[in-house]
Amino acid sequence: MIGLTAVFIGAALALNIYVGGARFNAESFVPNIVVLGITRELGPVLAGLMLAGRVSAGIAAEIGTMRVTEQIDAMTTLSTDPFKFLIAPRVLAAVLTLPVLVAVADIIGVMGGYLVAVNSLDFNGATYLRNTFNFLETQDVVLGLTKAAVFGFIIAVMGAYQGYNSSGGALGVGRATTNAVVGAIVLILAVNYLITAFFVE
Amino acid sequence: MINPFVPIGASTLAIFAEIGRFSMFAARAVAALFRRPISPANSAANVFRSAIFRCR
Amino acid sequence: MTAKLQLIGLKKKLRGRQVLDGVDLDVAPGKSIVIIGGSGQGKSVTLKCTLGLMKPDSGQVLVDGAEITKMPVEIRARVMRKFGMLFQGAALFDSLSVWENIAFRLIYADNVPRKDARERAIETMRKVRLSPDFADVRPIELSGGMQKRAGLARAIIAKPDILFFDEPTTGLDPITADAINDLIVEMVKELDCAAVSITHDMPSARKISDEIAMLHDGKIVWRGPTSTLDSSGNAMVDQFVAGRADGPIQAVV
Repeated sequence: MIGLTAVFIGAALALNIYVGGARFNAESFVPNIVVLGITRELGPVLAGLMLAGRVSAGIAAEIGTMRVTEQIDAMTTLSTDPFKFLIAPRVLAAVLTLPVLVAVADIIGVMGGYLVAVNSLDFNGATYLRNTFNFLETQDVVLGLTKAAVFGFIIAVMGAYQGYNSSGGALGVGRATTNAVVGAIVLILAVNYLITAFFVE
Repeated sequence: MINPFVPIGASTLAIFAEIGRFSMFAARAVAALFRRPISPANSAANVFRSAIFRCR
Repeated sequence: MTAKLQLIGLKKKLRGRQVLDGVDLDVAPGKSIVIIGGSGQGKSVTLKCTLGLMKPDSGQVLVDGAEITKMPVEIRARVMRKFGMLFQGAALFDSLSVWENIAFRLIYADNVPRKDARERAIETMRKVRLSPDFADVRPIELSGGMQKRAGLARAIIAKPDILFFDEPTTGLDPITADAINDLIVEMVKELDCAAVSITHDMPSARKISDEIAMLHDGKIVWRGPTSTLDSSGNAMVDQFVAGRADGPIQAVV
């Protein structure tokens, strides 16, 4: 799913940059700007938003159901801390998984841009790739993957938070799920700006 | 006449309160990560697997 | 003799309503007490405060003379080892198999090897008359009565000192309910533990209790041995036992 999103975003990005670049004869910068946009910004943000919909909602529903059926209370009476047993592993998993997914999404996104550039914009394939990799700096990748890890944390914690505090039966679980998605999306966009600002200084 | 700043102020306060609660929760989650977690390998591996599976 | 469990002046306010208004109760070792009372009178909240799932606004919960409401979570988890709790809907973990549910405390809190834990789980399943054939299925495939049995097995596996029951017979047909009542009596006797139950099912309350306490408006209004229930001389108890809509208690509709 992330792959599909990334292909289309990469392709659209390439077209737009081409059109925009053509206005001041900068068409040749397409590969540089595509790879920059994707690794620094669009890869992590889009993956974060997609997973906010899937994972955050999933975690909120799981933990919310456990809350309203008293399974979380039961766990406490069995001398087991729900934070250690339910929440910490999910947070850890999301923080580790998201950078991996973003790395994959970045590659696919660049591929999408490459396909459009080579097939419809008459770029030379080898030159396009050389420009892409020569331009890309370690810092760009580090920024993108740091964002991804932070977004993973937000997604898991927001899902767990909403689920853990849900009440009121099936209705409450539904509300928790919605709140988790909305909350995670808003927080991801806000934190995305903060991280970018921090890295740019 | 209702002062328009009253509801805006109230909802801003509510948002900050929510952010506060969320931060406390996040802190507890992080603390749980570092305190000897219960059966870490097994459950983390399970969730990790399911997360990858779900994330596709 | 010190009480196994003692509640002193428990108060709790929820959403602006004084749900508990000074609950005092003590339970002697080996005794079974049932708290009766209408819906919304604070039975569940009493139980939750006792178990540490909710923090009372004021008052004390003493277990073997030690005050537990202000203990840090880590230490309270150790006190929890003395507790076994059967929840209303059994509250089995639906991602784990039946035996993993029953052995949950052993595997995750006591670090018992899985093989030994499984053996003890199956042994406990036999005790609650749940066929070991169900050890590897998911709880969702069990009937309501069997889920209660599994929940009971999970509560008793670590041989607690105090067992708690939250409406153990709700949602069961009369025959299954009676079988669960028998099982509760049997387990409490076998483990020689104290038991605290909340219910509004009077036949069940009579069967599983040594003593009955009535909770109304956040206070214990009457308490006495089960045999004296019908001659309590308390108008509220009489009304509740007889199940009449008219009397000192107004039905909340």
